[in-house]
Amino acid sequence: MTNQCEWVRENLASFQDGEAGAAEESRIEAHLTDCAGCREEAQALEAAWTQYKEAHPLQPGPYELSATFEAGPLEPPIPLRPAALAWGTLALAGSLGMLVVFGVGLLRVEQRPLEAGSMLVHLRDPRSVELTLTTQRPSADMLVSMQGLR
Amino acid sequence: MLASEDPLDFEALYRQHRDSIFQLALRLLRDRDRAMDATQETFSRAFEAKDGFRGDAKPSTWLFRIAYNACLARLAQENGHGGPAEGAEPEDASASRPEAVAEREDNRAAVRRALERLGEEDRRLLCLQMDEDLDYQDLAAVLGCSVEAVRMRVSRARRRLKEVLMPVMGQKR
Repeated sequence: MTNQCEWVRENLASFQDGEAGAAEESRIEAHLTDCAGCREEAQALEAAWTQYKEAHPLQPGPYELSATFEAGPLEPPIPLRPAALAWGTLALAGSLGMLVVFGVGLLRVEQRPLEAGSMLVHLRDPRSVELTLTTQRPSADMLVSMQGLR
Repeated sequence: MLASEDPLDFEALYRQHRDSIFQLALRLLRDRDRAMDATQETFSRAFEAKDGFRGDAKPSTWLFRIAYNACLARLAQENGHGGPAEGAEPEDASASRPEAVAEREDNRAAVRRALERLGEEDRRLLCLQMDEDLDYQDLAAVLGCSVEAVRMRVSRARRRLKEVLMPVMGQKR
């Protein structure tokens, strides 16, 4: 291995990253044309970097799955009797449970495991609920509105 | 500079970079919960410090620097208090996996085991370099060193990477 080989190998990574200057780039390219050993070293370096990146695929982040509840139209609050409040709460819980089951089922049918995500719930008025379940694919987005739960 | 990188537009910065910051934190900390905490800490610190941002670096680079330092602080703290061992594998997000991806996952696991032989400084640099938006100048700003130093460190890390992965790559051939 010559001094030129050593210099080229020191600079192969920046060359492959597109960070070598124009003069360096020309010098390395010319050397790789003539030197089989350095060409092999360049291929091995590139293959290792590719392996490394493949071993670290992007993981689903906590921001890709979100569910938000927003209160419905602002109306004067209607006093709820205790019994009506209980039934309304029960109906709301049941409906939301079905929506979550439906959403999980839909994602599983599509062979896309549902990742744990953060869920922020603002429920200011149980009479009107809007649930948005967002996935990475627009086709699986759901927007469901329920009104008049009392 | 992108319009959304207006130093004053913090909300746009958050939306644009939260995923990248989370991915960096996950690569460095190898734990989802800790990565989420570090991401939150990053934006919290950035928000507190935003008035002091002078625009010497890109806002995204500034964020990465805060995130990188936050992760290093967590790693140092965890190493001193029985946190996850260095070299621990990241959580496998797919507990039940189809057979079709089993081989690929096994290869990834073999590669990750081999990577445990990398030095910590090399590993952190490669974690940063995985984000393709960061060029050498950005890396220099994040690491607080010169571009020339980045060039040397990248060269050393990638050659070392090749050495530790050669046995795994040999098995695949």
